[in-house]
Amino acid sequence: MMQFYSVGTVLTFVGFLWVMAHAHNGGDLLNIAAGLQAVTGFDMLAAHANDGWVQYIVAMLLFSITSSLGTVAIGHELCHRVHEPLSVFLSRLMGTFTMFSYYAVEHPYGHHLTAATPRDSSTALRGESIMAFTTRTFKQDYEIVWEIERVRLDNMGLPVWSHHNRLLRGFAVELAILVSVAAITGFIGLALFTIGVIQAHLGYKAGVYIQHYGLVRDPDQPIEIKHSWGCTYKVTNWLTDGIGRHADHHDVPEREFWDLVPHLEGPQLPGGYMKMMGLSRSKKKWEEAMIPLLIEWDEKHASPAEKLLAMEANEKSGHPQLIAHARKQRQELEEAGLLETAQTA
Amino acid sequence: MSAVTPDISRPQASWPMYFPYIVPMLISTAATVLVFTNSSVVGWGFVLFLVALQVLEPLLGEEHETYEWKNPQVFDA
Repeated sequence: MMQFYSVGTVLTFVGFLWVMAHAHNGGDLLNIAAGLQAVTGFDMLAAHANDGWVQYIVAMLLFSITSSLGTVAIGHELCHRVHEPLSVFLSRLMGTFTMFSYYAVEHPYGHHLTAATPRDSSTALRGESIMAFTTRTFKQDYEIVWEIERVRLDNMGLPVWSHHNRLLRGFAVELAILVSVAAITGFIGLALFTIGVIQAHLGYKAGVYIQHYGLVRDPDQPIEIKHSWGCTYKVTNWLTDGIGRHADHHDVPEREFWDLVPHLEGPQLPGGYMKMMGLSRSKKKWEEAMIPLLIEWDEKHASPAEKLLAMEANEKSGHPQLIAHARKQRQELEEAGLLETAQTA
Repeated sequence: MSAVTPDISRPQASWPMYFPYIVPMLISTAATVLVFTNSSVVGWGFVLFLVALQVLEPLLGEEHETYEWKNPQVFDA
Protein backbone atom coordinates (compact mmCIF):
# COMPACT_ATOMS: atom_id res chain seq x y z
CA MET A 1 0.00 0.00 0.00
CA MET A 2 2.83 2.39 0.80
CA GLN A 3 3.91 2.29 -2.82
CA PHE A 4 0.70 4.19 -3.67
CA TYR A 5 2.11 7.28 -2.02
CA SER A 6 4.44 7.61 -4.99
CA VAL A 7 1.38 8.24 -7.17
CA GLY A 8 0.57 11.34 -5.11
CA THR A 9 4.19 12.51 -5.31
CA VAL A 10 4.30 12.12 -9.08
CA LEU A 11 0.88 13.76 -9.55
CA THR A 12 1.75 16.74 -7.36
CA PHE A 13 4.96 17.25 -9.32
CA VAL A 14 3.07 16.99 -12.61
CA GLY A 15 0.48 19.39 -11.20
CA PHE A 16 3.20 21.91 -10.35
CA LEU A 17 4.59 21.54 -13.88
CA TRP A 18 1.11 22.04 -15.36
CA VAL A 19 0.43 25.19 -13.30
CA MET A 20 3.79 26.74 -14.21
CA ALA A 21 3.57 25.67 -17.87
CA HIS A 22 0.10 27.21 -18.03
CA ALA A 23 1.52 30.39 -16.52
CA HIS A 24 4.42 30.29 -18.97
CA ASN A 25 2.53 29.84 -22.25
CA GLY A 26 -1.16 29.43 -21.40
CA GLY A 27 -1.12 25.86 -22.69
CA ASP A 28 -2.54 22.60 -21.40
CA LEU A 29 0.46 20.42 -20.62
CA LEU A 30 -0.03 16.84 -21.88
CA ASN A 31 -3.71 17.73 -22.44
CA ILE A 32 -4.28 17.03 -18.78
CA ALA A 33 -7.07 19.60 -18.44
CA ALA A 34 -8.83 18.29 -21.53
CA GLY A 35 -8.57 14.72 -20.28
CA LEU A 36 -9.78 15.65 -16.81
CA GLN A 37 -12.74 17.50 -18.27
CA ALA A 38 -13.62 14.58 -20.53
CA VAL A 39 -13.59 12.18 -17.58
CA THR A 40 -15.01 14.29 -14.75
CA GLY A 41 -16.50 17.39 -16.37
CA PHE A 42 -14.22 19.59 -14.24
CA ASP A 43 -12.88 22.61 -16.13
CA MET A 44 -9.27 22.84 -15.00
CA LEU A 45 -8.39 25.65 -17.40
CA ALA A 46 -11.19 27.83 -15.98
CA ALA A 47 -10.11 26.99 -12.44
CA HIS A 48 -6.61 28.24 -13.22
CA ALA A 49 -7.63 31.19 -15.41
CA ASN A 50 -6.73 33.76 -12.76
CA ASP A 51 -3.61 32.13 -11.34
CA GLY A 52 -1.03 34.48 -9.89
CA TRP A 53 1.97 34.36 -7.60
CA VAL A 54 -0.06 32.91 -4.72
CA GLN A 55 -1.08 29.89 -6.81
CA TYR A 56 2.44 29.46 -8.17
CA ILE A 57 3.96 29.48 -4.69
CA VAL A 58 1.26 27.16 -3.33
CA ALA A 59 1.89 24.70 -6.17
CA MET A 60 5.63 24.83 -5.43
CA LEU A 61 5.09 24.26 -1.69
CA LEU A 62 2.72 21.34 -2.30
CA PHE A 63 5.16 19.62 -4.60
CA SER A 64 8.00 20.29 -2.16
CA ILE A 65 6.04 18.99 0.86
CA THR A 66 4.80 15.81 -0.81
CA SER A 67 8.21 15.07 -2.31
CA SER A 68 9.88 15.62 1.08
CA LEU A 69 7.46 13.25 2.77
CA GLY A 70 7.86 10.90 -0.17
CA THR A 71 11.62 10.87 0.33
CA VAL A 72 12.16 10.90 4.08
CA ALA A 73 8.98 9.26 5.39
CA ILE A 74 7.52 6.83 2.87
CA GLY A 75 10.71 6.73 0.78
CA HIS A 76 12.73 5.99 3.89
CA GLU A 77 10.59 2.96 4.65
CA LEU A 78 10.74 1.78 1.05
CA CYS A 79 14.50 2.21 0.65
CA HIS A 80 15.04 -0.31 3.44
CA ARG A 81 13.07 -2.97 1.59
CA VAL A 82 16.12 -3.97 -0.38
CA HIS A 83 14.52 -7.32 -1.20
CA GLU A 84 11.74 -5.48 -3.10
CA PRO A 85 13.14 -3.85 -6.28
CA LEU A 86 9.89 -1.94 -6.89
CA SER A 87 9.99 -0.39 -3.42
CA VAL A 88 13.61 0.72 -3.84
CA PHE A 89 12.86 2.09 -7.30
CA LEU A 90 9.87 4.09 -6.03
CA SER A 91 11.91 5.40 -3.12
CA ARG A 92 14.53 6.69 -5.55
CA LEU A 93 11.89 8.02 -7.93
CA MET A 94 10.16 10.08 -5.24
CA GLY A 95 13.50 11.46 -4.11
CA THR A 96 14.51 12.42 -7.61
CA PHE A 97 11.89 15.18 -7.92
CA THR A 98 13.62 17.10 -5.14
CA MET A 99 17.16 16.03 -6.12
CA PHE A 100 17.40 13.38 -3.40
CA SER A 101 18.30 10.43 -5.60
CA TYR A 102 21.40 9.80 -3.48
CA TYR A 103 19.32 9.26 -0.33
CA ALA A 104 18.14 5.70 -1.04
CA VAL A 105 21.81 4.65 -1.36
CA GLU A 106 23.38 6.79 1.35
CA HIS A 107 20.81 6.04 4.02
CA PRO A 108 20.82 2.21 4.20
CA TYR A 109 24.47 1.68 3.19
CA GLY A 110 26.04 4.77 4.76
CA HIS A 111 24.13 6.25 7.66
CA HIS A 112 23.08 2.91 9.13
CA LEU A 113 26.69 1.77 9.37
CA THR A 114 28.24 5.00 10.61
CA ALA A 115 25.53 6.71 12.72
CA ALA A 116 26.80 8.63 15.74
CA THR A 117 30.35 8.80 14.35
CA PRO A 118 32.06 11.69 12.50
CA ARG A 119 31.94 9.62 9.28
CA ASP A 120 28.16 9.97 9.22
CA SER A 121 26.67 12.91 7.33
CA SER A 122 23.46 12.58 9.35
CA THR A 123 25.00 13.06 12.79
CA ALA A 124 25.31 16.64 13.99
CA LEU A 125 28.28 17.44 16.19
CA ARG A 126 27.98 18.92 19.67
CA GLY A 127 27.73 22.69 19.53
CA GLU A 128 27.13 22.63 15.79
CA SER A 129 24.32 24.88 14.55
CA ILE A 130 21.86 23.55 12.02
CA MET A 131 23.24 25.86 9.33
CA ALA A 132 26.83 24.72 10.01
CA PHE A 133 25.63 21.11 9.97
CA THR A 134 23.79 21.60 6.68
CA THR A 135 26.71 23.22 4.90
CA ARG A 136 29.24 20.73 6.33
CA THR A 137 27.31 17.63 5.37
CA PHE A 138 25.82 18.65 2.01
CA LYS A 139 28.96 17.71 0.10
CA GLN A 140 29.69 14.83 2.46
CA ASP A 141 26.42 13.12 1.47
CA TYR A 142 27.62 12.83 -2.12
CA GLU A 143 31.16 11.84 -1.14
CA ILE A 144 29.77 8.98 0.94
CA VAL A 145 27.57 7.68 -1.89
CA TRP A 146 30.47 7.95 -4.34
CA GLU A 147 32.61 5.85 -2.00
CA ILE A 148 29.81 3.31 -1.49
CA GLU A 149 29.43 2.98 -5.25
CA ARG A 150 33.17 2.86 -5.89
CA VAL A 151 33.61 -0.03 -3.46
CA ARG A 152 30.49 -1.84 -4.71
CA LEU A 153 31.48 -1.56 -8.37
CA ASP A 154 35.12 -2.44 -7.66
CA ASN A 155 33.91 -5.62 -5.97
CA MET A 156 31.76 -6.41 -8.99
CA GLY A 157 34.58 -5.64 -11.43
CA LEU A 158 32.61 -2.84 -13.05
CA PRO A 159 33.84 0.67 -13.89
CA VAL A 160 32.85 3.48 -11.52
CA TRP A 161 32.30 5.91 -14.40
CA SER A 162 29.48 3.96 -15.98
CA HIS A 163 25.73 3.57 -15.97
CA HIS A 164 26.13 0.98 -13.23
CA ASN A 165 26.89 3.81 -10.79
CA ARG A 166 23.65 4.68 -8.97
CA LEU A 167 24.89 8.16 -8.08
CA LEU A 168 25.63 8.97 -11.73
CA ARG A 169 22.31 7.51 -12.81
CA GLY A 170 20.56 9.68 -10.23
CA PHE A 171 22.46 12.75 -11.46
CA ALA A 172 21.42 11.98 -15.04
CA VAL A 173 17.74 11.73 -14.11
CA GLU A 174 17.94 14.89 -11.99
CA LEU A 175 19.61 16.76 -14.85
CA ALA A 176 16.85 15.59 -17.18
CA ILE A 177 14.25 16.83 -14.71
CA LEU A 178 15.98 20.22 -14.43
CA VAL A 179 16.16 20.62 -18.20
CA SER A 180 12.53 19.52 -18.57
CA VAL A 181 11.33 21.94 -15.90
CA ALA A 182 13.23 24.79 -17.59
CA ALA A 183 11.91 23.87 -21.04
CA ILE A 184 8.31 23.37 -19.92
CA THR A 185 7.87 26.15 -17.37
CA GLY A 186 10.42 28.80 -18.28
CA PHE A 187 12.57 30.87 -15.96
CA ILE A 188 9.93 31.52 -13.27
CA GLY A 189 9.00 27.85 -13.10
CA LEU A 190 12.65 26.85 -12.83
CA ALA A 191 13.26 29.45 -10.11
CA LEU A 192 10.29 28.23 -8.06
CA PHE A 193 11.31 24.60 -8.63
CA THR A 194 14.78 25.44 -7.31
CA ILE A 195 13.28 27.11 -4.22
CA GLY A 196 11.11 24.02 -3.66
CA VAL A 197 14.16 21.75 -3.90
CA ILE A 198 16.17 23.92 -1.47
CA GLN A 199 13.21 24.00 0.91
CA ALA A 200 12.98 20.20 0.80
CA HIS A 201 16.71 19.79 1.50
CA LEU A 202 16.64 22.25 4.39
CA GLY A 203 13.64 20.43 5.85
CA TYR A 204 15.41 17.09 5.48
CA LYS A 205 18.55 18.40 7.17
CA ALA A 206 16.47 19.79 10.04
CA GLY A 207 14.96 16.33 10.47
CA VAL A 208 18.24 14.43 10.55
CA TYR A 209 19.90 17.13 12.69
CA ILE A 210 17.73 16.19 15.64
CA GLN A 211 17.91 12.40 15.32
CA HIS A 212 21.49 11.83 16.51
CA TYR A 213 22.55 15.32 17.62
CA GLY A 214 25.76 15.20 19.64
CA LEU A 215 25.72 11.46 20.23
CA VAL A 216 29.01 9.60 19.98
CA ARG A 217 29.92 5.98 19.36
CA ASP A 218 33.07 3.95 19.13
CA PRO A 219 33.13 3.17 15.39
CA ASP A 220 34.27 -0.38 16.16
CA GLN A 221 31.20 -1.07 18.28
CA PRO A 222 27.69 -1.75 16.96
CA ILE A 223 25.01 0.87 17.16
CA GLU A 224 22.80 0.55 20.21
CA ILE A 225 19.55 2.04 21.51
CA LYS A 226 21.46 4.85 23.19
CA HIS A 227 22.80 6.19 19.88
CA SER A 228 19.52 7.71 18.68
CA TRP A 229 17.19 10.29 20.17
CA GLY A 230 13.78 8.70 20.55
CA CYS A 231 10.50 10.54 20.14
CA THR A 232 7.16 9.07 21.15
CA TYR A 233 4.90 11.95 20.13
CA LYS A 234 1.94 10.62 18.20
CA VAL A 235 1.79 13.29 15.52
CA THR A 236 5.51 12.91 14.80
CA ASN A 237 5.19 9.19 14.25
CA TRP A 238 2.03 9.49 12.18
CA LEU A 239 3.66 12.00 9.87
CA THR A 240 6.95 10.20 9.47
CA ASP A 241 5.94 6.55 9.54
CA GLY A 242 7.40 5.95 12.94
CA ILE A 243 10.77 7.61 12.46
CA GLY A 244 10.49 8.83 16.05
CA ARG A 245 11.08 5.23 17.13
CA HIS A 246 14.51 5.72 15.73
CA ALA A 247 16.45 3.56 18.14
CA ASP A 248 14.38 0.50 17.30
CA HIS A 249 14.72 1.28 13.60
CA HIS A 250 18.52 1.37 13.93
CA ASP A 251 18.42 -1.81 16.00
CA VAL A 252 16.85 -3.73 13.10
CA PRO A 253 16.58 -1.54 9.97
CA GLU A 254 14.60 -4.20 8.09
CA ARG A 255 11.75 -4.06 10.60
CA GLU A 256 8.65 -2.42 9.13
CA PHE A 257 7.58 0.84 10.72
CA TRP A 258 4.39 -0.55 12.21
CA ASP A 259 6.37 -3.07 14.21
CA LEU A 260 8.78 -0.53 15.66
CA VAL A 261 8.49 0.15 19.35
CA PRO A 262 9.71 3.07 21.44
CA HIS A 263 12.67 2.47 23.73
CA LEU A 264 12.08 4.62 26.76
CA GLU A 265 15.31 3.37 28.34
CA GLY A 266 17.22 5.27 25.66
CA PRO A 267 17.68 9.03 25.28
CA GLN A 268 14.48 10.92 24.45
CA LEU A 269 13.89 14.23 22.73
CA PRO A 270 12.05 16.70 24.96
CA GLY A 271 9.39 17.36 22.31
CA GLY A 272 7.94 16.21 19.02
CA TYR A 273 9.82 16.55 15.74
CA MET A 274 7.93 19.68 14.71
CA LYS A 275 8.74 21.42 17.98
CA MET A 276 12.37 20.28 17.90
CA MET A 277 12.85 21.22 14.25
CA GLY A 278 11.48 24.65 15.14
CA LEU A 279 13.86 24.93 18.11
CA SER A 280 16.78 23.90 15.92
CA ARG A 281 16.37 27.14 13.94
CA SER A 282 17.68 28.97 17.03
CA LYS A 283 21.04 27.70 18.24
CA LYS A 284 20.47 29.24 21.67
CA LYS A 285 17.05 27.66 22.22
CA TRP A 286 18.19 24.34 20.79
CA GLU A 287 21.19 24.20 23.10
CA GLU A 288 19.12 25.22 26.11
CA ALA A 289 16.96 22.18 25.45
CA MET A 290 19.64 19.68 24.42
CA ILE A 291 22.87 20.45 26.33
CA PRO A 292 21.50 19.17 29.68
CA LEU A 293 20.37 16.02 27.88
CA LEU A 294 23.81 15.51 26.35
CA ILE A 295 25.42 15.83 29.76
CA GLU A 296 22.90 13.33 31.12
CA TRP A 297 23.73 11.03 28.18
CA ASP A 298 27.44 11.19 29.06
CA GLU A 299 26.69 10.28 32.65
CA LYS A 300 24.02 7.67 32.09
CA HIS A 301 24.63 6.00 28.75
CA ALA A 302 28.25 6.44 27.61
CA SER A 303 30.60 3.47 27.79
CA PRO A 304 34.18 4.16 28.96
CA ALA A 305 35.35 4.52 25.34
CA GLU A 306 32.43 6.81 24.58
CA LYS A 307 33.13 8.91 27.65
CA LEU A 308 36.48 9.74 26.09
CA LEU A 309 34.86 10.54 22.73
CA ALA A 310 32.20 12.61 24.47
CA MET A 311 34.84 14.52 26.41
CA GLU A 312 36.69 15.37 23.19
CA ALA A 313 33.42 16.39 21.52
CA ASN A 314 32.57 18.58 24.49
CA GLU A 315 35.98 20.26 24.36
CA LYS A 316 35.51 21.04 20.66
CA SER A 317 31.88 22.14 21.02
CA GLY A 318 32.63 25.75 21.91
CA HIS A 319 29.75 25.69 24.39
CA PRO A 320 30.75 26.86 27.88
CA GLN A 321 28.56 24.32 29.70
CA LEU A 322 29.92 21.42 27.66
CA ILE A 323 33.52 22.65 28.01
CA ALA A 324 33.06 22.84 31.79
CA HIS A 325 31.61 19.34 31.73
CA ALA A 326 34.60 18.16 29.67
CA ARG A 327 36.97 19.35 32.42
CA LYS A 328 35.05 17.28 34.95
CA GLN A 329 35.07 14.31 32.57
CA ARG A 330 38.81 14.63 32.04
CA GLN A 331 39.40 14.60 35.75
CA GLU A 332 37.17 11.56 36.24
CA LEU A 333 38.78 9.68 33.37
CA GLU A 334 42.26 10.45 34.70
CA GLU A 335 41.29 9.28 38.18
CA ALA A 336 39.87 6.09 36.73
CA GLY A 337 43.05 5.57 34.69
CA LEU A 338 41.01 5.48 31.50
CA LEU A 339 42.51 8.55 29.92
CA GLU A 340 46.08 7.28 29.92
CA THR A 341 44.97 3.86 28.68
CA ALA A 342 42.93 5.35 25.86
CA GLN A 343 45.66 7.75 24.80
CA THR A 344 48.30 5.01 24.83
CA ALA A 345 46.02 2.78 22.77
CA MET B 1 28.09 -23.71 11.31
CA SER B 2 24.67 -22.34 10.75
CA ALA B 3 23.91 -18.77 9.80
CA VAL B 4 22.38 -16.65 12.54
CA THR B 5 19.21 -14.92 11.45
CA PRO B 6 18.21 -11.99 13.65
CA ASP B 7 14.73 -12.27 15.08
CA ILE B 8 12.88 -9.24 13.78
CA SER B 9 9.42 -10.56 14.50
CA ARG B 10 7.10 -8.63 16.72
CA PRO B 11 3.50 -9.09 17.82
CA GLN B 12 1.60 -8.18 14.70
CA ALA B 13 -0.26 -4.90 14.73
CA SER B 14 -4.02 -5.03 14.33
CA TRP B 15 -5.68 -2.64 11.89
CA PRO B 16 -6.16 0.36 14.24
CA MET B 17 -2.39 0.58 14.45
CA TYR B 18 -2.18 1.27 10.74
CA PHE B 19 -4.86 3.92 10.76
CA PRO B 20 -2.72 6.93 11.79
CA TYR B 21 -0.36 6.26 8.92
CA ILE B 22 -2.87 7.47 6.41
CA VAL B 23 -1.78 10.98 7.44
CA PRO B 24 0.98 11.20 4.78
CA MET B 25 -1.48 9.73 2.27
CA LEU B 26 -4.06 12.35 3.23
CA ILE B 27 -1.49 15.10 2.75
CA SER B 28 -0.47 13.71 -0.62
CA THR B 29 -4.06 13.32 -1.79
CA ALA B 30 -5.11 16.78 -0.61
CA ALA B 31 -2.04 18.31 -2.25
CA THR B 32 -2.82 16.57 -5.52
CA VAL B 33 -6.47 17.65 -5.51
CA LEU B 34 -5.46 21.17 -4.57
CA VAL B 35 -2.89 21.57 -7.32
CA PHE B 36 -5.29 20.39 -9.99
CA THR B 37 -8.52 22.02 -8.85
CA ASN B 38 -7.19 25.25 -7.36
CA SER B 39 -10.02 24.93 -4.86
CA SER B 40 -9.94 27.50 -2.08
CA VAL B 41 -11.99 25.16 0.15
CA VAL B 42 -9.44 22.36 -0.25
CA GLY B 43 -6.65 24.92 0.08
CA TRP B 44 -7.84 26.34 3.38
CA GLY B 45 -8.68 22.85 4.59
CA PHE B 46 -5.12 21.80 3.79
CA VAL B 47 -3.62 24.78 5.60
CA LEU B 48 -5.83 24.23 8.64
CA PHE B 49 -4.93 20.54 8.66
CA LEU B 50 -1.20 21.31 8.68
CA VAL B 51 -1.62 23.97 11.37
CA ALA B 52 -3.75 21.55 13.39
CA LEU B 53 -0.96 18.96 13.24
CA GLN B 54 1.50 21.51 14.62
CA VAL B 55 -0.89 22.53 17.41
CA LEU B 56 -2.01 18.98 18.16
CA GLU B 57 1.50 17.56 18.43
CA PRO B 58 1.98 18.59 22.09
CA LEU B 59 -1.75 18.30 22.85
CA LEU B 60 -2.14 14.75 21.55
CA GLY B 61 0.95 13.80 23.47
CA GLU B 62 2.86 10.57 23.38
CA GLU B 63 1.95 7.09 22.31
CA HIS B 64 2.66 5.05 25.41
CA GLU B 65 -0.97 4.11 25.86
CA THR B 66 -1.25 2.79 22.33
CA TYR B 67 1.78 0.59 22.76
CA GLU B 68 0.86 -0.66 26.18
CA TRP B 69 -1.94 -2.76 24.75
CA LYS B 70 -0.03 -3.67 21.64
CA ASN B 71 3.18 -4.73 23.24
CA PRO B 72 2.96 -4.40 27.03
CA GLN B 73 6.32 -5.97 27.78
CA VAL B 74 8.05 -2.90 26.35
CA PHE B 75 6.92 -0.93 29.36
CA ASP B 76 7.73 -3.55 31.96
CA ALA B 77 10.42 -1.91 34.00
